Amino acid sequence: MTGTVGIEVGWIDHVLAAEFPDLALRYVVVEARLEASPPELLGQLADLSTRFRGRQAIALPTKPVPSAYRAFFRQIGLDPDVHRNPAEAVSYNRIMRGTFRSFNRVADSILATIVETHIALGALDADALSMPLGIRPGDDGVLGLVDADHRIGPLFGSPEHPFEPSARTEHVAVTAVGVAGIPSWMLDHALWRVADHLGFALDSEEDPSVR
Amino acid sequence: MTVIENGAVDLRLVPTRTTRHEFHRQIARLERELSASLVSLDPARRPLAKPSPTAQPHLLSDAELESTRDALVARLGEIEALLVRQSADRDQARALLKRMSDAPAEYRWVTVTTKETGDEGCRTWQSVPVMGPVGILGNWWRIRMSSGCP
Repeated sequence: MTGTVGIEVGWIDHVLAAEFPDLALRYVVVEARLEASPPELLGQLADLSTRFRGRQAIALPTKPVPSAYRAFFRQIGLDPDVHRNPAEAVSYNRIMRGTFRSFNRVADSILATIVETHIALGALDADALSMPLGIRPGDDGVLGLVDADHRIGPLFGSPEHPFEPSARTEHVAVTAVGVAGIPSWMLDHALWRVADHLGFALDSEEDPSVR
Repeated sequence: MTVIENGAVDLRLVPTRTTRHEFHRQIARLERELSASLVSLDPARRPLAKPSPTAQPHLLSDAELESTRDALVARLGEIEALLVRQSADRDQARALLKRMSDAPAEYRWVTVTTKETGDEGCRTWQSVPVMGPVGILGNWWRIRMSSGCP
């Protein structure tokens, strides 16, 4: 599975953008199935498991990227010690289970990239989506990830059923959410890393921020 | 928003975008300081987070932003107090270890760990009798240091 794909810039509701000028959404759609991970990705996960220790997990909240997400969580009414950001959630699971557990190629690619970059990444079933993706408050006031027609799920939460990648998924949208303190190139870098793991090359010539 | 005489609005009291951004800035700073303080605190001493699983991400009102900031200030104060207590306990443990080393017989079977002194590793120092019963009968004690982490 090889090819070149581009990074898309998600839209941010104008009220949210005024409140959080640095809130950003980037995503990439790739052809991918929830198949077993290749040996090299499994080896990489095992290597990350070995190198990741309790001391790193304890210090994680002070690192720049997790720290930026923690601040943003407070600003949107979430307690980051209860609702963990993705980097802290995977580190908590690693400490509790003793290893980074493998699920499938898509989940493992995202897991490895979160461990490496700390960026909040997620996966969606792209075939169920009507592009473009964006972030806006719903009628109930809950900040959510949305597409042109649907609310996909709460921001930093699990996607609702039809949008979650499943055994029938053929295309996956990998999303990266940025907040104040996280430059956009870090989101692009994280998406490049996921694409690498999935066997794609992202078109780095095109700067998605220039539109 | 406060309405003063003639129906005019006291603009000084109107929450502005700048005020909200200032709340955000304060919250981010307090959260960074809280995280840094928590890293220095022994995990066993950390107060448990109060679970609020029903909380959903939303735009906070001005009052919520203010109460979030104030709650962080209170929590930071709580953590700082725990850090002071931890520092005092560690000084006490180091002083005890020093006294034990100087006069092991006066601290029979007393144990001090690196967890108590705040040092790295997992060593244990204990005042034990030399040659078992012989040391007990002869009041001959020494400090035995464990070999380290399992």
